[in-house]
Amino acid sequence: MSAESPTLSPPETPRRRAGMMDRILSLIGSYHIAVVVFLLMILLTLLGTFSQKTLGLYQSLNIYFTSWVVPREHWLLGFLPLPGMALLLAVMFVNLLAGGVIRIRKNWRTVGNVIAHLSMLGLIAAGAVSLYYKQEGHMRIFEGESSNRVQAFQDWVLEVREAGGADSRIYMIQETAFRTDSPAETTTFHRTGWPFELKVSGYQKNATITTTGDPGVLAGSRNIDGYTLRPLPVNPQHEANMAGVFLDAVDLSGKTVGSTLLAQVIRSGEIVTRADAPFSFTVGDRQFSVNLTRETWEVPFSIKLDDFKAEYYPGTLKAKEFESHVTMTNLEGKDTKFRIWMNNPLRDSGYVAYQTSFDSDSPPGQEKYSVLTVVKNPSDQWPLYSMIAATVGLLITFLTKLTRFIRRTAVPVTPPAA
Amino acid sequence: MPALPSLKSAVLILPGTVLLLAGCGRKDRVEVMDSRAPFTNEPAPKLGLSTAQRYAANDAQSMLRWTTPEGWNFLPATEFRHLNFDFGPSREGEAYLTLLPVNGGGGVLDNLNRWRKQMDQPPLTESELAALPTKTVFGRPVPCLDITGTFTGGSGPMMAASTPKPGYRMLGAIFEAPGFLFTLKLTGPEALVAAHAARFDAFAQSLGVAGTPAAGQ
Repeated sequence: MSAESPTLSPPETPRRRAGMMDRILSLIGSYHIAVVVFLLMILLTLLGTFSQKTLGLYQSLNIYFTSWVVPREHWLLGFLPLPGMALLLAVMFVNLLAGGVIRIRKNWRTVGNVIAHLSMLGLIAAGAVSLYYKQEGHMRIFEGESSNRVQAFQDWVLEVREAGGADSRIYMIQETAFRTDSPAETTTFHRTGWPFELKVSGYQKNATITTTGDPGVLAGSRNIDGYTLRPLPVNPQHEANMAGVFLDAVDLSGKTVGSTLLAQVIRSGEIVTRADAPFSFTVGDRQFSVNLTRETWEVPFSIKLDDFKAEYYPGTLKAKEFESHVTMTNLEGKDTKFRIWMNNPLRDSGYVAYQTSFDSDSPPGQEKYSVLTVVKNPSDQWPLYSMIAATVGLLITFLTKLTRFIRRTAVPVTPPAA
Repeated sequence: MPALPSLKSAVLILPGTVLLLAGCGRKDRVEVMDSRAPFTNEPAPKLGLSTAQRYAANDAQSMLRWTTPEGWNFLPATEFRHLNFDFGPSREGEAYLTLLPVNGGGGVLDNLNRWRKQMDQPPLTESELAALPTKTVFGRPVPCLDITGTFTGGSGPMMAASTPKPGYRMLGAIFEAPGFLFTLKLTGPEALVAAHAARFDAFAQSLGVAGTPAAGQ
């Protein structure tokens, strides 16, 4: 195309570019988008609330409130796709930022509004940070003992380690990575430096190990040395579910070097977790092991349970109040004593430890252990700050309006006639 | 450029984004990135364990090595059936191994006579016990029963009492090992047991201590 070719559109100018930007901001910051988002939020809240009765809290949260798109099997009327709350909040964030912060007329009358809008953005950001970065688990501590390990409530993890290798790290595959809609699906996991790949199949959300002759076993179930997975009904209380998978270790030439099944064993009604007895296989002269366990991590302090006290309603075994007296020791060896009880958590080093449960099987006065929920949430205090900002913003708005109203309606005082 | 009507945009943008995201499938090939350092004082895992050792439903399963015969169904263990199998077209044949404490479950003769009673047979004496044929179990000769008659013992996983079953055959072997009395028993219709007698012998011979090589290896 020559330099003299006629142009079909006028040349870009700063004013024109500014006009386009304004139109884009006008579009993404429009009230109409806000209204549609709010209506969809109401719909999701209703659906999510009703679904808790059948799916349980965790499932409902995952399906409606922490998802970008509601999974297909939960679409409205079976065929209408639904956005997840995460997507709606992301849209709302952009809409509010464009319309309520960038495009809003800025003067002393709208300062309160801008602050209130910013506080809402802060709330949404807090939710996003919490969704992706919050770590939550429980710490079970027996009286007189201490712990620095926290175990996840919900998800399972495959832990892969090499015995005596140069790399002592333990590699983790989260349940979200091997969770499949159908047991027929296979997910392959690999890593640079591994002389093998792991093929995970037969995923069951809730299952136990049983023998192949068990009448509860599905026809055609895979047989590993006479053992197989027996699917159990999925529990609405997600933490009660025990994932189960089949696993094949395949070397880089494609030869299977080991196969197993991984799940928990139930003996006389008790779940037996064999954390110390993983599946192991050898590739060349290197030995590896894989285990399926609840994700566990260490915190940079230890908590010793000095004393646990529970008060019961008279004549019952229902606890009225329970509290843990603990000593927290940080990495420098400094001891600090805390009392943790309902709604009064321990807050230290960016962590919060709540009193959530205890050994309720033992007779009153002889409780053996306390259960603390330990949370690390970078945005833990953001909602508080956001709400303070919202209060300030709304106060400024109301006071501004009130002042203007009083000024407008004030009867002019006329000086008395001389 | 005319501005798009906002409501129309909202109606178009959201479902479009939803459909786009809904189309994003899960990955079936994933690189492992997450890792952690071993915990302080974290015990080293036990390596080289068999499936039975890892998932044993009881001490017998964790201590033993065995080979399940072709056509036998490996059933969940029960309180008195530590290795538990059934077989046959209607799964009417039963075979199981029980470990009893030596002083808590009677002796070899007591248990053999209890089984004989289930087949409506008179008890044996010590001398008759010594004259019984033997099978090789755990590499040692073990006295064995082979009785045909009416079976009146309990059956099924819960050892439920059953109606007398004529035309049944029972194969059994009992022996003492340090601390334990091993009882090995198979019952079923005569023709079915005849078809599985050799497998019962093979199963008995396959028994060994977990972690030790099987015979012939």
